[in-house]
Amino acid sequence: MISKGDLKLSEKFDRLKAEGEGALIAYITLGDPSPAESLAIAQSLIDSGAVDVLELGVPFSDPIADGPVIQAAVDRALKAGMNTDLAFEIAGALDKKVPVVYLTYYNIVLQYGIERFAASCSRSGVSGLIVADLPHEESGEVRAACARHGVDYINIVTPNTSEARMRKILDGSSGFVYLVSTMGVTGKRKELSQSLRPVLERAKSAAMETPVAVGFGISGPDHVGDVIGKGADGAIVGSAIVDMIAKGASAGDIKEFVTVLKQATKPVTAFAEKK
Amino acid sequence: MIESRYGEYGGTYVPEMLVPALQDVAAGYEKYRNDPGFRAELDDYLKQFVGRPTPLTLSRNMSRKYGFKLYLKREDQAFTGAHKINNTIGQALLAKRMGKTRLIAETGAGQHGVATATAARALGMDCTIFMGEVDIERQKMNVFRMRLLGAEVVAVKNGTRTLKDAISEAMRSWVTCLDDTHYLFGTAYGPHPFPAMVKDFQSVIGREARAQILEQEGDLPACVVACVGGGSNAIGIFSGFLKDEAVRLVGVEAGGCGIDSGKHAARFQGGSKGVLHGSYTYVLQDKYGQISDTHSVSAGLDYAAVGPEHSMLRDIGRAEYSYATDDEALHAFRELGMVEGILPALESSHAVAWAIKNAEELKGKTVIVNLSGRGDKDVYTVAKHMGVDI
Repeated sequence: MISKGDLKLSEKFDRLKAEGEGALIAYITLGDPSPAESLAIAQSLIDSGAVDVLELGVPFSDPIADGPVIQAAVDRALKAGMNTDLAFEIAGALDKKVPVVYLTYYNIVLQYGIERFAASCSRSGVSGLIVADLPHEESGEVRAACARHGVDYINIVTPNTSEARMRKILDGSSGFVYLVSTMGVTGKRKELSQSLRPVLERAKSAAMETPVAVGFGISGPDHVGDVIGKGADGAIVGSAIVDMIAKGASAGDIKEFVTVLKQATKPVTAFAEKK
Repeated sequence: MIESRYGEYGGTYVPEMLVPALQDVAAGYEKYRNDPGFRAELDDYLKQFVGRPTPLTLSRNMSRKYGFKLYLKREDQAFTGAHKINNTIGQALLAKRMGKTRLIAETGAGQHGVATATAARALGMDCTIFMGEVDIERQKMNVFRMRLLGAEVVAVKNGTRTLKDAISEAMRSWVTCLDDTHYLFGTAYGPHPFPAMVKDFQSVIGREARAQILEQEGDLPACVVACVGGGSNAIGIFSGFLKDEAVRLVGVEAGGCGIDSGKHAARFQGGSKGVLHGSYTYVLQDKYGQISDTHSVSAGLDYAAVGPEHSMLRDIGRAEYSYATDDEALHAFRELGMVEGILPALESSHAVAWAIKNAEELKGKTVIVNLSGRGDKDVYTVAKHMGVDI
């Protein structure tokens, strides 16, 4: 039985913390390769039992924070007729056993209507909202609307965000903090930045009680184990999964991949025993 | 502090990673914009390198033919053939003072790319230009010019493969090299402080034009006309006349194949308020906020959003915005060549086209058209439209 608390980000992270695990946050672009298929993929990710938080991209035609893999996914989704109304239909139709968050760009929220967007998130069970191109200084209206509708507004901080700025941005933050691992755009990378540890420490200190999840470039179990090992509360994997979808991987293949990723969020001993 | 908003328009809608970078640019601009040493160096480059002041030419034959007194502000005579160099020299000098060693830029028609590559060479800086694949195809000569100037030209192959995607790609690239690289944005658009800074560096057009018309004509013009893509040449010349309320300011957007066809770049005709590339302004988009594909015969006007200050000037009624279609611009291109001996850029041809179209209304009046660039780069495009193989 799923209780409402299960869909709350803070409770999810608390529970994982109590078990000594990090969160696996899996991203897909809604509408890729088609609205119906992305609903099925999203559901199978939830049903895998390996994904702790599902992050759904609501496509925008000009995603300046994204690399080629997600750009291509967005192009496919828009060609397949994806739009914001369908995004809320899909979110509403999902059998949500884990918290679902949206990632989008400001113009998508703005054109739908800020208040209406936040209300629709709440109505269709979307627990949190990430807006990739909305810096703190411009985000007041969206943050207020999210707060009114009980949706966590998820702040983004990056390696070049100063300590003082991090404190300002993360004051009163909720859900989790999205820490970008490295300077650049989304996409798979062979190695993670050497300087992740100090940046992560800075973010964790500024975030206070709010969990910090690391994204951008996290492509496989080694990276996931690495960021969790360095003290992150969660690891966000996007392009690696989107790339599998692009290559026509089966639901089984994707499930197997996220299961391996999930193992890497667990303490080393548990990981070793399962092996 | 420099204002980041024009009424409700403008702002800084960018990923967090770009915020510290833009704050650095704003701080550098704030530090040097009124610095006498910086201004003297800029003025010297504008005079000795760019060739300013550019003339304000009375277009005698056109005036006789159309019945109004047509003056052309000759930005086509600025070095590299367009107004773009005013801004690239300004920003490059600023970047150098801020300790940067490399410039990156987007380009549509290639004029801004050439002007950036030129400024980089002149100041001993490295240069990379991002250009959509479609634009590379229609502006081959400018691509080769950039390469001759030592710039690396990166072909942008995603999205619509035009200016819009070149800007996205330049922004994506900038965040990986912030330490040594300045993003030399080409128009009075984008996130703060670019609209304010680019306007500042282009305002030399308006200052000169105002002084020149007063000297040559003894009076202010009735009307100042400029084409509007992002809107830097327009805001540059308008800035000289904003306080002269009797002077009518007209911005001319790209009407493409006509507004009804949907194939155009006239943001004030078919657009609505939205956010693209960091700025809140009029944007061509669908009801969900997906940015529309645009079309214009001139690559430099082929963009889905308009500079935020233009949106404000339109709202408060200080400037008005019209459009010229591809056919009207092509006609104006040929007309100015045949009648006056001047081949304007296809972008600037839109402003000329508006003046021709409204000749009746302008009868007996004095009009300044900002001839923002020269037409050499467009001869292949024009030949193609004429069905001529060159």
